[in-house]
Amino acid sequence: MSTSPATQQRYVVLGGAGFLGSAIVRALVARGEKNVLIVDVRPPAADAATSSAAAFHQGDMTDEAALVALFGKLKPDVVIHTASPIASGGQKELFERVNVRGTVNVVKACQQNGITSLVFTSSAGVLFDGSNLINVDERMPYPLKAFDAYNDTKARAEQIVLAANTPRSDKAGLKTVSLRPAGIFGPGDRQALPGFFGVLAAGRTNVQLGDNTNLFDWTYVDNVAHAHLLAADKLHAEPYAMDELVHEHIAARILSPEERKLERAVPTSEKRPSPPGVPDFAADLPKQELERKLEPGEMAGTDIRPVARSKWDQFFYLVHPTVQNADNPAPQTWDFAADEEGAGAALEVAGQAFHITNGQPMCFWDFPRALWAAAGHPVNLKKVWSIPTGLGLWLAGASETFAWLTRREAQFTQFKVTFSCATRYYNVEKARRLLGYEPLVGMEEAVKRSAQWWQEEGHKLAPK
Amino acid sequence: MSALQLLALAVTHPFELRSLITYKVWRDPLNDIKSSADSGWERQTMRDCWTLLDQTSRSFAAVIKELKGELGRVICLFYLVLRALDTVEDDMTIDNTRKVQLLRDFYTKLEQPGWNFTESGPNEKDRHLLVDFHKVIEEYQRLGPEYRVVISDITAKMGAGMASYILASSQSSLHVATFADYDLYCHFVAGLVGEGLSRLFGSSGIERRWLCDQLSLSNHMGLFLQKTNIIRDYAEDCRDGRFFWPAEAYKKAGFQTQADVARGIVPAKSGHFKPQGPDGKAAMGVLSDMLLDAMQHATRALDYLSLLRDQSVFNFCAIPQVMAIATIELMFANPDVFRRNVKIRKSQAVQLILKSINPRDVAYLFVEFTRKMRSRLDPADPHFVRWTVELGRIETWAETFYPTFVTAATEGTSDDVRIGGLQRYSEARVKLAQELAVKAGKEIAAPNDDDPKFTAMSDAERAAREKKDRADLLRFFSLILLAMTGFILVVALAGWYAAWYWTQTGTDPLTLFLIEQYHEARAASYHLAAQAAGLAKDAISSTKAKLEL
Repeated sequence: MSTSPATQQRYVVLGGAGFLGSAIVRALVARGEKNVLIVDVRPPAADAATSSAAAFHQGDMTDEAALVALFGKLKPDVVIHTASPIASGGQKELFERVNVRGTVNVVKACQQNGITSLVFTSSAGVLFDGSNLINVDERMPYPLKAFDAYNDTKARAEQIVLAANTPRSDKAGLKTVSLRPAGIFGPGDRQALPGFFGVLAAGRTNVQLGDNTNLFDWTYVDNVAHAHLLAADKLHAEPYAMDELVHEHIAARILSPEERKLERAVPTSEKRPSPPGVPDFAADLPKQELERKLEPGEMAGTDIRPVARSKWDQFFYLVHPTVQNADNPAPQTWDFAADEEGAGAALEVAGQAFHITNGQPMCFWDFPRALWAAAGHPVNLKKVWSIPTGLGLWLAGASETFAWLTRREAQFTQFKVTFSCATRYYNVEKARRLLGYEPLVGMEEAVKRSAQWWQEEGHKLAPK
Repeated sequence: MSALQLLALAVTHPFELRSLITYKVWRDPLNDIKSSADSGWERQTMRDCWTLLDQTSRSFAAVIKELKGELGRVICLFYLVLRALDTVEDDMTIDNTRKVQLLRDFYTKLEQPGWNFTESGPNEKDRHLLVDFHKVIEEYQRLGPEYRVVISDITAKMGAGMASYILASSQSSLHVATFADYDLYCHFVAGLVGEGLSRLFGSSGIERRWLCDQLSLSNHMGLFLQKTNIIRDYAEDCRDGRFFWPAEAYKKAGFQTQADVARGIVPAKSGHFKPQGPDGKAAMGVLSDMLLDAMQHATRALDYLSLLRDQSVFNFCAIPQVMAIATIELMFANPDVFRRNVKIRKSQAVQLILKSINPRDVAYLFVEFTRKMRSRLDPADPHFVRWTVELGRIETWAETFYPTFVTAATEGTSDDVRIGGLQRYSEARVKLAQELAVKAGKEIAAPNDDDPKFTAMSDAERAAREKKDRADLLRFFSLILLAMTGFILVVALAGWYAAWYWTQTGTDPLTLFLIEQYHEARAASYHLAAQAAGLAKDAISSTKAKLEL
């Protein structure tokens, strides 16, 4: 569970009965919060761990007046807004009503009740338009044409939330943040795991769309919940220290705490164990080293060096203020690097969106194959039938045409082909630095838990 | 290589043959030791040392000679000193007590001009290096103190480490218990070399001075190479009674000794081998474990290479790393590893040398090899998830530091969505800059000759924008042309109908033709729909999931 300590604030989790919402509630309760309130249109599933510790309140986001009154009654310190219809299905009107107008209502309810913290769950899909997203960071603008109605409404909701953020000088004002999780999966999942285990049940694991070279980010649900707690905690924190952009090396290998325990530091002549069972002659040697004059600004010690950043890095302009780049395109007009207030805003949590992933992208088909192997059914690669992307799109188009002619809903769509053949992985350095986010559960463990949950509980959700 | 081998290569791997020819005929060394003032070529002792280097180093001599300035001479001597140490360690005719003392004291011999060692076994391969070692000492004494202290220190530590392992192996055959012990052994025989080289590069001033202190990255460089060699040399080491694979890896798979691991590997067709039965499968699991352990050093090796600035130093460091990952890819899921020494083809090696000229190209060579491994990664492998995550890390590393949307002009432009995104972001920043300037009461600077938006873009971004402008213009003209053509067709059709019905009776033949085509198309579409439905049904369940919140 979450590693941060309890704050004893009053939390309202909008959508707290849902898949992600219930994970957030569990994380809050597990770290010792006493005032967790679930607001949803229907009660959470029977779960002893949360039902005793978190009170449920029926509430509908789409009713502004009722929501304002409810927040007035509950008096939350922090609102975590994770309520959303499930992304599948083309219910455009529902997305518009809940995601956009509902979010407007949430913002108004927070403002009118003097609430100072709002954490919004957006989606990494807000940047997706069918093209490959290769290691993109949060600077990537929304696509000119959204991929679908769901992501379009999530993007607009995110803009509403971030626009409602008040300047740092306004201490009593509302502070907002948006988290963009990618490919959430885990126990309680109603989209990813049912889909992939449905393929297994149907015996179709030997079909592969595309060439499986496209890296894809997935995020275990407990990690997403953890990110929400970090965001809530840091909404009013001081900006991240700019010096650390140069000096603080966050590990390039993103690991969960369990994985980090197994990771061995490489032995060096300064720090190493002794050879087992024999005298360590090397430890007795006299020191041979010339004293070296340090360069200006350099610190003494081993393994100290500046963080390497290319010109296209999102923090490059803050550590190389004299170089013109995309973040500081017109320094003669306005030098963003010299703008202390602007640089501060770029390094604080409030008012920003953050990508949240497991930090361990896998190629698209490796993920379901790992799930199937964990469930005891590894795929034999020699029997896999690979359909090229172009052919897949054509077949999907034909399938959709046929469905339209016969007035049925298509099951094999161009959306699914595009989705499973696209590269989609994200740069999470901003979340790691500003939020202190690291995944609590690594992909290997997450796959194991998900397969286990499906075999014990999840398969009951599968349609007969 | 023989003519027949060259001919076979021309048929099977023509690009590699071309690389081989390019390397032999056209490639000029970065530096020439015979004409360089820093190489010491004018002294007989140093010429003898260069000769000793050629005799003892098949793979490194060429790249050492290309090192800039006096580094070539320095690294040559460093190599010879360590080789001498290794020769003492390898010599089975010297009794252990004597050998331990000699190894521990070896660094002090560097301060004894005229010292040499004539008691190596008569069949010891590099014994002449020890016989002529006084020449190495003489040249060592000419080095600056900043170099001497490094060479002496590393020699001392490595000799002491070797001495410890000799005592360990005198009790029983040398074997390694845990992965941590494995790391430590590799540190002594290879990591220290990495540290020494980094300190020499930094001390020379040719590279950044803080390179001297990058101990962890230096060790990752050394361990990546050493582990690759240990895995590759499985069969040879088993024959010689040396066991470097950690017992932790093979005992949990049910094998008692390192030699046992090959039990389930049997001959297959055309000189290769295959795993057979549970033992064979378990052996492949052990190999997977060992290779995955080695692969964990790869991103740190790339970190190290990206710190280097001098071309000759980069070549010197990058070439072995690229060979190592090529070898790992060759060994991946390859049962031949257990029965013979698998090696990359010499022509492939040459091709890699020619490609390893900058950190970006090296990073994408690594990515290329990771993709080859991934295509053979078996979901039944017990480390499947860890493997695919590890391979993904290399691609993520490459895209973080050398994103693929940044392309050289000769490579043409990319249609990467990141270019457009960054361009729109930059334009938004310009607009924001102007707003902030106005708000701050600052007078907006007079526009430069260059558009600020344009100068902020990289060359690739500018080229992409120009391409987009050209595409827009082309699209506009295409639309005009299309409209004109459409108009002409409409006029022609009207004229046709007017002429026909003015002069003739009955339906015109064009209408009859269209009606006939319509009937045929409708019949064909029924057939096509039935076919598509069948195909769609097969593929439908493979992509059921919609995977968004």
